[in-house]
Amino acid sequence: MIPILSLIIWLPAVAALFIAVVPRTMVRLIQFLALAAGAGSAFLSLRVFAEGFVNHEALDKFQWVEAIPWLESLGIQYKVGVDGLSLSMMLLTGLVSFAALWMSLSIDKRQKEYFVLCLLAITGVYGVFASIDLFFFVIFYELASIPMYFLVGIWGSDKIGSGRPIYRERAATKLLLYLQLGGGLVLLGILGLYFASGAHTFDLQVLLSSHLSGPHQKVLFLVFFIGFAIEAGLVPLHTWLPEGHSSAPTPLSMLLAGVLLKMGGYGIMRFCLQLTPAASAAFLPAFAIMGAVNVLYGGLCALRQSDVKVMIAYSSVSHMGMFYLGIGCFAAAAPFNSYGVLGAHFQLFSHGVITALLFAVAGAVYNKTHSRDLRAWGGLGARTPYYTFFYVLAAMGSLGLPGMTGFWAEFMALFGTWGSQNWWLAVLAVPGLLITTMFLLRSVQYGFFGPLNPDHLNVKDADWWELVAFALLAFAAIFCGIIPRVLTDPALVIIRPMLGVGP
Amino acid sequence: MEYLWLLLALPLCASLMCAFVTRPWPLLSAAASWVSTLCCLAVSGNVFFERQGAGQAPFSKIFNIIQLVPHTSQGIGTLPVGYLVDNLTAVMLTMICFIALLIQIYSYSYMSVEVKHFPTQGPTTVSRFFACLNLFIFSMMGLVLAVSTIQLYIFWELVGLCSYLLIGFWFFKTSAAVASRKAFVVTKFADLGFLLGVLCLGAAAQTFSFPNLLTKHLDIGEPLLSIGLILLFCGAIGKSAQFPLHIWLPDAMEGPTPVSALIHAATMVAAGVYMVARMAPVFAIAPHAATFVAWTGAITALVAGSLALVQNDIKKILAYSTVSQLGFMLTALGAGASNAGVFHLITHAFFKALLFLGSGAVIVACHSNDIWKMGGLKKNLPATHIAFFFGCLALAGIPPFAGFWSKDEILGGLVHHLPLLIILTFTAFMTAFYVGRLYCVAFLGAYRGDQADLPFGGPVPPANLPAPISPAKTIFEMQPFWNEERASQDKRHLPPECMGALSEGMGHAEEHDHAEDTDHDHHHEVREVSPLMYIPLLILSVFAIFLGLLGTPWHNMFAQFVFPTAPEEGANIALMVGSTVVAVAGFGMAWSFYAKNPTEGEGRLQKMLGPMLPVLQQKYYMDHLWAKALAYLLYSDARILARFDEKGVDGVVYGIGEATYRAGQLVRQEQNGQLQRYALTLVVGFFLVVFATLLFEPQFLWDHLAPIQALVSRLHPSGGPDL
Repeated sequence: MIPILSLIIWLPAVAALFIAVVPRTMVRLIQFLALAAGAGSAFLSLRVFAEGFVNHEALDKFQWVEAIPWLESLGIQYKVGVDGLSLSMMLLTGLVSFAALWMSLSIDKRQKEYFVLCLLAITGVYGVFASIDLFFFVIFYELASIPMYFLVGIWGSDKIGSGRPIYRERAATKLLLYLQLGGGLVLLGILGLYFASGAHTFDLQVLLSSHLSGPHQKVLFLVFFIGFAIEAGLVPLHTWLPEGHSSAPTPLSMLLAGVLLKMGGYGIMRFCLQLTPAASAAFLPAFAIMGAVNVLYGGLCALRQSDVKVMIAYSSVSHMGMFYLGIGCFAAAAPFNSYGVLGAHFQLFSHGVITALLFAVAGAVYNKTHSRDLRAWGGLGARTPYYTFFYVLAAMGSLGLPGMTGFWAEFMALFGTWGSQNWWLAVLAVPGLLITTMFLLRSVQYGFFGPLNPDHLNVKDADWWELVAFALLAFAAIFCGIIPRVLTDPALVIIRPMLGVGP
Repeated sequence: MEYLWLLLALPLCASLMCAFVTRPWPLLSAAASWVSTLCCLAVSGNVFFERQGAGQAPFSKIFNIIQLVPHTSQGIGTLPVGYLVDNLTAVMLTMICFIALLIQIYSYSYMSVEVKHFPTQGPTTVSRFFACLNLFIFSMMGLVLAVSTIQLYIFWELVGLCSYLLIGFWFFKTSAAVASRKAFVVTKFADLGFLLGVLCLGAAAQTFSFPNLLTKHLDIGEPLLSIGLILLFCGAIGKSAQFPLHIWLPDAMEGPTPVSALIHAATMVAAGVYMVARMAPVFAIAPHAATFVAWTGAITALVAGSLALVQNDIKKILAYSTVSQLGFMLTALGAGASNAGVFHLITHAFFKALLFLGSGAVIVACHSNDIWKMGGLKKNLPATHIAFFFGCLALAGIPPFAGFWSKDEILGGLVHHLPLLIILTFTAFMTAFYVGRLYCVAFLGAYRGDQADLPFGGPVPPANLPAPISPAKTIFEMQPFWNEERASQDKRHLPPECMGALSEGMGHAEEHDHAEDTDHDHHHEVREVSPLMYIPLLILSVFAIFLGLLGTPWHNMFAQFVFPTAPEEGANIALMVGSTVVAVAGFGMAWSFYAKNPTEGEGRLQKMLGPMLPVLQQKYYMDHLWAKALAYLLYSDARILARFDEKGVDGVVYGIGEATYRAGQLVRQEQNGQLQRYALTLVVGFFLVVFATLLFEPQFLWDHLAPIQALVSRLHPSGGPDL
C-alpha cells in the first residue's frame, strides 16, 4: 500500500531539500521543483478527498492510518490518518498551498530561501491536519509557524504613509510571538491530556476513547480553547492578523488566512469539541457571544480601513466570528446543534478558499500598482478586467453570496444559533453581513470602478500563473457552493457521533 | 414538465458562453441569448398550456442540497431545493421569458448604439451585457420555480447580484459605481430581514419547503407567524423598493435602459410581490402581517406617485411610477385581493417594459434623458410614439387599456378598506397626471433639444436648495483620491479612461451635438434607430392594449387560472366609472397644463404644489435621512472601534511587550561589567541564600544534608531515593 498521507506531507519537505542544493541562480528549476511538489501534494490530497467522499461512512474512524513506532516508552510514535473532520482541511491545504505556490512565481528576490521556507511551512500545515500523534502535532505546528517569521520578515512589505504604519520586522515578530503563545498553551494542554487521561500516550485514537473527569475537562478545554483561539483570531487576541496579514507577501497572506487560521479552528473542533465534550457543552454556549462580537467588531474595524490587506484581515476576524457562533450551538437541540457545528466546520473551508482568493487578487494588484491604499487604486477595471472579475467574485463569495461556499457556512451557523438558546445572537450577528457587504463593495468601487487613476495608466493585467491560482480557488469556492454535500457528508459522519445524534 | 431543468440550464449556459466563448463577437452573443430565451419561452409556454384545465395540483420536485441525517428528509434536517410549478409559477415564467426575449432583441441594437458613445468600450462590452442579462434570467427562473424559502433566498440574492452588475454596467462612471453599490447595500439591508424570516419560519414551522408550508395547517401562534412573515416581507421592501427603502430604484436608472426595463420595472422588482403572492395562503392566516403589507404598499404608492410629479428625467419618472405601482400590487395582496395584485403585476410588467423600451428609443434618438430637451417626438419617432402613447394610457388606467382593468380590480378589492381605497384612488389620479405630463412634454409641441442654453431640469429652475446627497458621500466616509472632479481640473491631456462620466457619453450630449453640427452643417436629426428597436415596442403595445381583457370583472379568466379559490369581487360599475373619471381627469389636467405651453404648465404645477415643491424635489429628505443614519449609527461606531483596536487592544499588546523590555532593562543594569559590583552581588547573594536556608531549615547548622532530604521527601512522599 502506498503511504499516501506521508507522501502528501513530506513531498514539499523533500522538494525543499532538493532546492537547498540547487544553485540560487537556477530560478526556473527552483520554481519548477516547488510547483511540482505542491502539485503532487495537492493532487494526492484531492485523491484522498475523493476517495474519502466516496466511502464517507467509514470516516468516523481514522483512515489511511500509518504508524511508525518511535519513542515507545513515552508513548510517542509517528502516526498519521484522516477522518471526517480533517478530510476537507487536507483538501483546503492542497488548494491554498498550490495556489500560493503559483502566486509565489511573482517573488523576485532570494527565491531559493523563499521556496525552501515556504515548502517547509506547507509540510507543517499538512502535518498538523493529518497527524494523530499529538507529539508530532506539536512538531508540525512549529514547522508551520516558524518559517512564517522569516517569510514575513524578509519578503514582506512595509507601509508608511496614511493610516497606521506597518513594519514587516515588527509584524513578523508579533506574528511569531502570537503563534508561539498559542502553541505553548496547546503544548501545555497536550501534556495535561497526557497525564490527565492516565493513558500516558500521545495517540489521539487512544485519547479519544479515554474519558476525562469533569474538572480535568474544564481546565483542558480552557487551555486548548485559548491556545487555538489566538490562532483563530478571537477578539481581543486578533491583533496579529491585521499587521501580519498585511505585511506578508501575497502567497503568505494566502497561507496565513487560508490555512494557518484554520489550524486554530480545526484544533478547537478536534481538542475542545471532541476530547472535552462535557466542558464544551458547559462553556461554548456562553462563548458564542464572542462569536457575535467577532462578527461585528471585525466588520466595523474593516469598514474604516483604507489599506486593502488590512481590510481583508479584519474581514477574516469577522468571518471567524461565524465559526465561534457555529460551535456555540454545541449544546443546542437536535437539528440545530448539527447545523451549527457543521456550519462552523464549513466556514473553515469556505473562508480559507475565499479569503485566499481575495488576498491573492489584492496582493497581485499591489504588486502591479505598488500601493495597498484602496483610495489610490481607482478605476482599475478599465485596465485590468481579469483582476476585476476575480476580485468581484471573491468579494461576492466573502459577503456570502449564494452559489459560493460562504453562504452555506453562514446560513447553517445562523440557523443553528437561531435554534439554540442564544437565538438573539443570530439577530445580533446578522447586521455583520451588511457591514461585510458595505466594506467589500466599497473596496470594489474604489479599487476597480470609477475613472482610472492616471498613476496607473500603464498597469498590467494578471499574469497567466496568477490566473491559474485565481481560477483554482474560484472553482473550488463555486463548486463546493453549488454542491455543498461534497463537504457536509464527510463532516457529518464525525459530527453526528460528536453530538450524540444517531444516524 | 420534464424539460423544466432547461429553464435553468439554458440561460446559465448562454451566460457562460457570452462571457467566455463569444466575447469578441457581440452578434453571436446576442444570437445565443435569443435562442436560449426563445427555448425558455417555448418550455414555459408549454408549461402554461399544460396547466390549463381546472384543478391541477401543484407539481414539485425536491432535491436535498444538504442532509443532516442520511436517508431521512423529514422536517428541517434537510435543506431542500428543486422546483414547484403551479399556475402562478406558469404565468410568471411565461411573462418573464416573453418580456426577456423582446428586451434581448431590443438590447442588441440599443447597446450597439450606446457603446459607440464610450470610446473606451468595445464589442466585448455588448457580450458582457448579454452575459449579465442571461445570468439574470437564470436567477429569475430559479426564483420563480423556488420550492423552498431557502431556494427563494438563494436566487433572491443572485438576482441582487445581477442587478448590481447591470446598474454598475458603465463602471467607469462614478455615478454608476455609486448607484450599484447603493442598490446592493440597500437591498442587502432588507435581505437581513428576509434571512431572519427564513430562519424564524423554518424553525417555527419545522419546514422550509413550500408544499408543506402552504398546505399544512401551520401550528404556530399568530404573533410568531406574523413576526416571521413581516421579517420575510422586509426582503420584499428592499427588492420591490417599498418605502422607506425605495431610495435605490431611481438611482438604479444608471444602468442601460433595457436593464431598467427588464430588471427595474418588469421582473426583478416584482420578486417581492411574487414572494408575497406565493405566501398568500400563509399571509391569509396572519392578519397583522397582511395589514402591514397593505399599509406599506399604500404609503409607498402615495409617496412615490407624488415624487414622480416633479421629476425631469424620463427614466426617473418611470422609476418612481414603478415604485408606486408595486405599492398598488402589495396593497392588493395585503388586503387579500391576491388575484388583483398578481394581475396588476403581469399587466404592469408588459406596459412598463413598453414604456422603458420606448424611453430608451427616445434617449438614443435625442441623446438626453431630460424630458425638457425632447418635445415634438410625435413627428420624428412615429412608431415609438404610438407604442409609448398606448403604454401611457395603460399606466394612467384609461379604459380599455390593460392597466385600467388590473387597477380597477385592485380598487374593487379594497372596497372594505376605505382608507386604503382613498389613498390609492388619489394616487391613481396623480399617476394619470404625471403620465400625461411626461407624454405631453416629451412628445407634443416642438423639439427643444437644439436650444443649447436650456439648463438640465427644465425651463423653471429647481428651488434653491442644497444638492441632494447620496449615502456614499457622508462626512465619515473616505473618498478615492481620483474622481471626476479632479479629472475635470487636471491640466494634463488624459485618456478617456481617466475621465469617467466626463468622457463623451450619454450624460453630456451637448458636446456631441456640437461636434455633429460642425461635421454635417445641419442639426442632429431625431429619427428611429432600428426596426429591432421599435418592433418589440409594437408587440408590447398590443399587449398593453388587449391584455387587460383577460381579467375583466365579467369573465375573469386570469383569476380563475391563478387563484381560482380566492374570493372574487363582482363587477362594481360605480367604482369602474369612478376610476375612469379619476384617470381621465388626471390625464386631461396634464393635457390642459402642458399640451400648448409646457413651460407655463410647469409653472402652474409648481404653484399648485406650493410648499410641497422643495420637499418633493428633495425626495422627502429620505436620502439625507439614511445618509445621516448610516453616518451616525455605523461609520462613527466604526471609527471609534477602529481607533480602539489600534490604540486600545493593540496598545495593551504593545504595552506588554514594552513592559517586558523595561523589566529586562532593569535587570540589565546589574550586568554593567564592573568586577567590584559582581563581587558585591556574589557576596550578598551568598549570605541571602544562607540566611534563607537557616530561616526555613535551622537544622542545617548541624546537619548539612537535612534540607535536601526535606525537599526530596516533599516531592516523593512515599519515600525517595536514599541519600
